[in-house]
Amino acid sequence: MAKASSGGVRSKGSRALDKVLLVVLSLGAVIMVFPLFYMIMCSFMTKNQILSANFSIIPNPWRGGMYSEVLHKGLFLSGIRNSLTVAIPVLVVGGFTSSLAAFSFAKLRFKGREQMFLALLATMMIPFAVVMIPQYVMFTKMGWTNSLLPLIIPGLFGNVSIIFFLRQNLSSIPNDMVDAAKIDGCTFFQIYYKVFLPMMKGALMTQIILWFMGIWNDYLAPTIFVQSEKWYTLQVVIRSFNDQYAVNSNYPLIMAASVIAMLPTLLLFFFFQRYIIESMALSGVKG
Amino acid sequence: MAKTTVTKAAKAGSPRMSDMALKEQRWGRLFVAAPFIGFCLFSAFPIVFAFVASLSNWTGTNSIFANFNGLSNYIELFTDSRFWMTVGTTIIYMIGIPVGMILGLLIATAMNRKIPGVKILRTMYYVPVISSLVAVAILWAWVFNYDFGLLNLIIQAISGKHGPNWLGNEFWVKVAMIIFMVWKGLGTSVILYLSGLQNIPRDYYEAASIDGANGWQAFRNITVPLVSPVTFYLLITGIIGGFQVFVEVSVMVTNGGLNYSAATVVYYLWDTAFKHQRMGYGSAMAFVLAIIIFIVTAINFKGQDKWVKTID
Amino acid sequence: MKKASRFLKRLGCLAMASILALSCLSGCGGGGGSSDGKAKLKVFFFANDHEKEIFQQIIDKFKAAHTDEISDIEFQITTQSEYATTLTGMMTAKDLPDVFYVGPESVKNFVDNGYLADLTPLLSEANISTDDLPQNILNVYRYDGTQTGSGDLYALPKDLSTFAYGYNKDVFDAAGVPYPDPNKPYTYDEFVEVCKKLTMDTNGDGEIDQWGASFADLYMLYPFIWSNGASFTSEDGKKITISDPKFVEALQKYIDLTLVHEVTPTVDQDTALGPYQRWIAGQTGFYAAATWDVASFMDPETFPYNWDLCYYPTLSTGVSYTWSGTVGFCVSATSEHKELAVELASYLSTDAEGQKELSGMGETVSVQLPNPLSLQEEFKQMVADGSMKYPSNVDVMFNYLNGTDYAKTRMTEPTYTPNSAWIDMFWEQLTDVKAGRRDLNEFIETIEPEMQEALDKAWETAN
Repeated sequence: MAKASSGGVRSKGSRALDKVLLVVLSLGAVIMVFPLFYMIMCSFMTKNQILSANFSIIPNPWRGGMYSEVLHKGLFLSGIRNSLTVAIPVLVVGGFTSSLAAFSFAKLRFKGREQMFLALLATMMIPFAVVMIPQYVMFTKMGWTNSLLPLIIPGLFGNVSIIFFLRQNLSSIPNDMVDAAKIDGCTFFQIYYKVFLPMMKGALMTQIILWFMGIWNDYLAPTIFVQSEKWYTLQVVIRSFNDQYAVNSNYPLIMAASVIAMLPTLLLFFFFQRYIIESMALSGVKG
Repeated sequence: MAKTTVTKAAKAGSPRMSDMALKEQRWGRLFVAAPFIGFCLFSAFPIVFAFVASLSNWTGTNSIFANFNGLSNYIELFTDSRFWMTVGTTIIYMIGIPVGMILGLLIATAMNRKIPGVKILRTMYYVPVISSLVAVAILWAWVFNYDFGLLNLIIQAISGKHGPNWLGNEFWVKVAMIIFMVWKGLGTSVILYLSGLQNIPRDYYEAASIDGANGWQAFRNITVPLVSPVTFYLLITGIIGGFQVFVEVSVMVTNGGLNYSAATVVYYLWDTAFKHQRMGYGSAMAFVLAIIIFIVTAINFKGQDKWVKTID
Repeated sequence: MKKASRFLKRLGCLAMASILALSCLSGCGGGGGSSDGKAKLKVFFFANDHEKEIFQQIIDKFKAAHTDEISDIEFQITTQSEYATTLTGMMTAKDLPDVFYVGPESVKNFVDNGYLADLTPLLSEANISTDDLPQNILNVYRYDGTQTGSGDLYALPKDLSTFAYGYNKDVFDAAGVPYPDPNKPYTYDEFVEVCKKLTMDTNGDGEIDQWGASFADLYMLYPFIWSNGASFTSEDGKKITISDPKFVEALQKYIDLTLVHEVTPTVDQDTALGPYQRWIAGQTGFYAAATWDVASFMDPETFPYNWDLCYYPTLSTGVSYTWSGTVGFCVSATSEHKELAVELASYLSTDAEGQKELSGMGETVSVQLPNPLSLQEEFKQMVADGSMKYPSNVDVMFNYLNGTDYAKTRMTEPTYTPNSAWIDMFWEQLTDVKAGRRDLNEFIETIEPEMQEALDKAWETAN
């Protein structure tokens, strides 16, 4: 019997439980990681095998060369550059505006707070399908459609989903910390910056990784708002390898491109999970 | 408990606010200004536009103003059986939300332990979230395949009977879609729960263990209530997102599946607005949907005090 | 506290100012003209990688030949599935490119709403003749103000594609069945006989694993209906005519292939491996081979079998029918450079070098047939002497397109209706009939009024 589910004295029973969990989690992980494995295998198959064969997994025959073909496509590299050009300012500025707003929604008292929050949340409730065309019209009138601005500017103002998550996260931090800081003579911005920002670091990091992934994999908005090849983002480039008629699509190439496209997100997640998981030490919350 | 006192204090102060409270109000509003300006700049106009369009026979090519038809789109919607059928399917798919949350929390709790190799495991669970949809679709088409699918092979081996035609049957296609969506979204709920678990002070567990609580009791009485803010977040975003599912449908089945049985309401909306060029009708659909989502969300916000715990 | 406030205010101002500046900056750059009086054209198509490269070459060549009139041609592309959506955005924003694609189904709608320039006067002014283009293609882009098919021209064809039929020679050889006659379509009964001979269990495990044919309903029911002299709608596209006995008979015969003659995979088998995948896997004798499929089917990495073209079987009319599709280059009614735009459209449609590349007569693979009549003979010659990769029965394509007494094409019925909602419901529910779970007559009876209602709605919305 495990005495504590986390930390504390690590008993024999706890170690035995760890082993059981490791086995169970590993089994689950196999199911989860299968698409990546399959994508890698497909990138070495012939088109015929992908399109017809009864879902065989091992390439027969093995066909290499797709990876170098992808990397030699100028469009692919410019796609990576464009996706990064969108992601970096959006994550830095949007991360700041979102966390500031979340702090305010969670910890500051002002009239209309809940209503304003619900109003922001309500913008998520209208399906993109119907705001897409008017947004396009707006971006055209602003002259933005021949640039990455339609993808960057809206993000700078923050992301409702992140604000919501951070607000939830802050709700488990005592309110009297605000008052204590006020008494110490901190400005409200200092309270955000010096007290609460460090505390939501882990949650913010989690959300920023999710957001990065969203931008990296976003496909619909970029195709509609950006027509010039020069500004194609990564997923639009990959999608352009696709053809309306399945038979003309170069699936091995698409798979190789998708594998390469996935790597940054996986690596990012692997290395940054430290900030998510170990943020507790920084939070300074005493029960 | 303390929450009510706060609200009361705020209310009591509202007729004549103290300088400090006024200052707090000003700063509080300033801090939320950015998303609000963003909302006004990039969402307000499109929403108004779409609403005006919803009162017309707009096809995307004709003029909205020359084709006003008042509320007739909304009236048509109420007798459109296909709309209500797809709303029903969408709600059925939401069975996946609690399933995903429970699995996500269990996995996150397990992964929060110092197990060797846990870092790699966490990354692996994240793969479905970021995989290309094409690959994911091919994979699941294979898992659910009627004749040589993984699932039916297992069913055959265990029961000796041929498994269901997962993607070609009006009932089973819904089950298949739920399984698929839970799998696809699991990675996200795992990392959000992982991040939520970090807010639980360790000494809570130590105290519980001194009191003789076992692992399950600690999980039930400490972990579950203390991650409830994350649970609430997952529930709300799950509902808002769940009402708007459509990509998943288009990658798993063609044309909404047999007799449109797999189609969700937003899938129907896309079909209506873009495939059938009834943009006005599609916009009306979007607003009715948004109202449904808003009501469900508002009810949840009202009910959250009952189960969402905050530390005060 | 004050510092933070000032900082934030400044930040806010900065953000607003930069947005305004950015929008102004890029906004000022718009417009069709540039300072030196030269034109700046914008074109917008959907295209795959291969077509895109060829178009880019044609455009570059055109630009080079007009350096004193044109400063730049902005070439934008998207995928076929996103094209209509983006175009809707452009139309709503009143920011249409100078040259873009229009399908025959949209000509009436786009002209009525004032998006398309009338090409007839523009062409005669520029002295461009359309005599070298097949007149039946041009006709689908004509509109007289009430009906398409005649009147002034609104687009020049990018292509004309045929949804022809193909057969797998290896499957025929293995079964010892003689190939289909390249000059004479099978009758329905002959087709059934041949299919029966091809349907078999090749590996001896007791289960059928090779079929005479496989059918994707959505694309492959039309030949049966039309060859029986029936149609989904009346000629004006306003009345559903599926309860016509000839329609019902054709549908019955189509379903019989699966349920009675059992020469196709069943519906359940279709969900396991799609009709198209079975063809790619070499499990069926016949499948569709459209003009855009040829390049892939000629590529052994995609389709490692010998194959050739043939006709769909004939029903009571004795004529083999299939459908054709096309998309055309049109000029925006609001273009500031219509003369140049129409010249470019014509260049894209007929330039010999570009056409050779697109049709496979040049260095690259074939994605369409050449548009100019003058190139068609050369094309056939190249196929005949083996200097280009194409199935030898290429006449099947041309016979369908040009029309003979035994092979004809037409456009599908939804081409002539404002939207396809009415036929989509037919396809969805047909599966149950094909699976034998639903009676055909009951299906027709139930669905006809529903389809009529959807069609009425479509017309009502359009007018």
